[in-house]
Amino acid sequence: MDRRKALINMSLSAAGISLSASLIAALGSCESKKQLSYKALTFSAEEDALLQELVELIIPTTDTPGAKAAGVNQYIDRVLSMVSDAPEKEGFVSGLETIDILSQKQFGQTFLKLSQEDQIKLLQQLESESQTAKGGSFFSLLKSMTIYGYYTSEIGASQELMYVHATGTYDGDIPYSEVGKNYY
Amino acid sequence: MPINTTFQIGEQAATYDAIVIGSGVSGGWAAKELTEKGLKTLVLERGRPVEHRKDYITEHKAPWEFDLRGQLTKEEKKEYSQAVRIGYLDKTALHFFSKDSESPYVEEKPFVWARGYQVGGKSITWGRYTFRISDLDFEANLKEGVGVDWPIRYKDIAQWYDYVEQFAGISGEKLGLDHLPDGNFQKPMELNVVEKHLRKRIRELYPERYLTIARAAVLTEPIGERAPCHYCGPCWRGCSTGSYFSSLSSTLPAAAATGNLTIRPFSVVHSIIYDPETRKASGVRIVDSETKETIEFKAKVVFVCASAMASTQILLNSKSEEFPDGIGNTSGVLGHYLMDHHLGMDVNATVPGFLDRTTRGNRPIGFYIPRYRNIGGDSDMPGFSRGYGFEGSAYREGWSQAFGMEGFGVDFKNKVKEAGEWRVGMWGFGETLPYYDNHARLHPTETDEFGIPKMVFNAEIKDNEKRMRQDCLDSMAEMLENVGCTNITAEDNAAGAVPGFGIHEMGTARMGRDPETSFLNGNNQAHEVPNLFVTDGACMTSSPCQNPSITYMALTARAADFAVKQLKSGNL
Repeated sequence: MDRRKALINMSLSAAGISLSASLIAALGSCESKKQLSYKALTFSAEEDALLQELVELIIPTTDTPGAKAAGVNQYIDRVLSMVSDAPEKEGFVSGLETIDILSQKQFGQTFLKLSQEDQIKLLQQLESESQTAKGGSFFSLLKSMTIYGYYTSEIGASQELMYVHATGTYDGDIPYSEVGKNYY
Repeated sequence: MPINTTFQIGEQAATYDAIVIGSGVSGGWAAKELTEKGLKTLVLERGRPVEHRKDYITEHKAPWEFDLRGQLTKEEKKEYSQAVRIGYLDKTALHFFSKDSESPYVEEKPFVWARGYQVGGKSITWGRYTFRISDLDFEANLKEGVGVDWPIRYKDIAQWYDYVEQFAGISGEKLGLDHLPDGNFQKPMELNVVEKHLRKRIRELYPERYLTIARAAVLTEPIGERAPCHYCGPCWRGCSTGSYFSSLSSTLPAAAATGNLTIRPFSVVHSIIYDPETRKASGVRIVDSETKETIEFKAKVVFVCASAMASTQILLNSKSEEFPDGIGNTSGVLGHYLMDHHLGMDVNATVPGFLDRTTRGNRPIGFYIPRYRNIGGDSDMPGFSRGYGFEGSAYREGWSQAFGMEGFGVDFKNKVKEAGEWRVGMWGFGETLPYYDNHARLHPTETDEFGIPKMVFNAEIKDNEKRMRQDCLDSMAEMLENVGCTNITAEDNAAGAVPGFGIHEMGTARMGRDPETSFLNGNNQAHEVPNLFVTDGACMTSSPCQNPSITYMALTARAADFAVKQLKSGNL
């Protein structure tokens, strides 16, 4: 388009809210479908399977879907390749390897084959060591990325938490019971 | 009924009555005032066109609709390597910030130069807080023997504050304070239950301290086609209902409606042309950023509103035989006395109780605690001059509490689901004194892609600011403790004291009474070039701690009125 013939249209209208609301409806996404077609940037299929298990242990399915259904593994995969610097990415991938090494050492089999009880035991151990041990700092990163990925997902923000958009008014003092949970 | 105002870009005439450089807060006002007074006006904007509503491409998007949830990629962090230090750049508004890689500058000392090169400038992303400055501020330099005296007083600008506030639409509360003058405000937004509690407790213990809802250019009542705020929250993405003031929602449509406005985007101003015979500016030389063609436009009057640092860059680069150091710069003050508000004085605490209460709606502004130091009487401090104000808000701790919680699994998830304690967070904005050493200048050899010398920045906070920072943290921590807060942290985050971090750059073409020590007179008119006006932050003689944009609006409208009267009486 020739800029010199371009027009700037300055349209002022109060219709912005309704337009945007319909836009949001049109953009609504279904993250469980995405899990099937997703192509990982950082992880192998085996690593991804382990990661799915880990994020679901951190934020499991309750009365709302957990981190796996929310696609947190995909979020972490994309962030590590597109946002993180090389040391962080490599540290994370080798941290995943450490999980299976520890699992083999302590329970004699890979993490995915452990009972949930043993899986939790191992993660608790990693969390308690998280200030010093190498595997521990991996756990801190895994946990914080899982938290961020989950609560900013559609499931996390709008099913687990209360997502409010344009309320039209502001009320600075209402009973907590009217909302009953944390806002996004 | 929607107003459709369409105006064409391109096919420009070579000559106008007025040229305005920049289309942000100040440029938009200059365009509106000059066109409404009948001047054919060309607005030169170095960035791309932005269309109100249509180009607010992230407005009302949910977090999960952004790839990477809005985080910048490695490549983007490189392109914005200097601007990312402000800490809140993400994909929700990245398209309204300029790439440092495309507009390079030199940091002799650390300096953040966050720019918004587009039609509308930084008025799209600005903080929208609007506080008048008072005679406490206008008189301070003279009383203390610091810098030079402001050539104006509050009485000179009061009616212009009234005028611009009426049009922009300012919501807020009248407090009757001499040092934070009231205006004709729309009804204030609401403080929440805990902010009201804090306000009451503070006033009981500190009668001279106020906690009030911020005065802001966000509507609570309609103005024409601009609707009141709908409480979606992130104004900086753009607002289709025009509920906050920006050039795009407010001044440029008004200017366009006169039929006297031409906006030319992609027009990088190289310099202002000086005519030694008339001893006036005869026009402006631009480089078309798309074609790289150099073009000159003529006008009777030139308003420089490119943002403080960019305006000074243009003025310094406008060299002639008469003005080898920049147009109108015989005094040599151009580029000096650079100021910004120093930030990074961050105080956070828990407010016990109120666990059965919460809020509804995303209020786009917080509270404000006006300056309470050095305003006379017991408030005067031996250790430093001037003062600071606080912005802040109280809120129930949200899901981010999860980052600090131990454990994982079902119990963890259920705990995060419950709103946390009430917290109060606030951050101080401190005044910086005008120092000659703190300056920006042109690089002697390095240029950008348009052949314009890069800006070199050399500025820092000094002892007065450092002592102020300590008092700011101490006094607020003490106050919060006395009103019953717990878990108080008061941190000096040095990154916030890096000049430019506040994005309130001021000075470098200051107003004053004496042409030997200032660049502009009391009408924002260059002492040495009578048809040249600078009305953005560059004109500031000191940097009162109040957020400055409303002062630029008032000074711009006032200067435009003066310029047109001078033109009509044949003086320009």
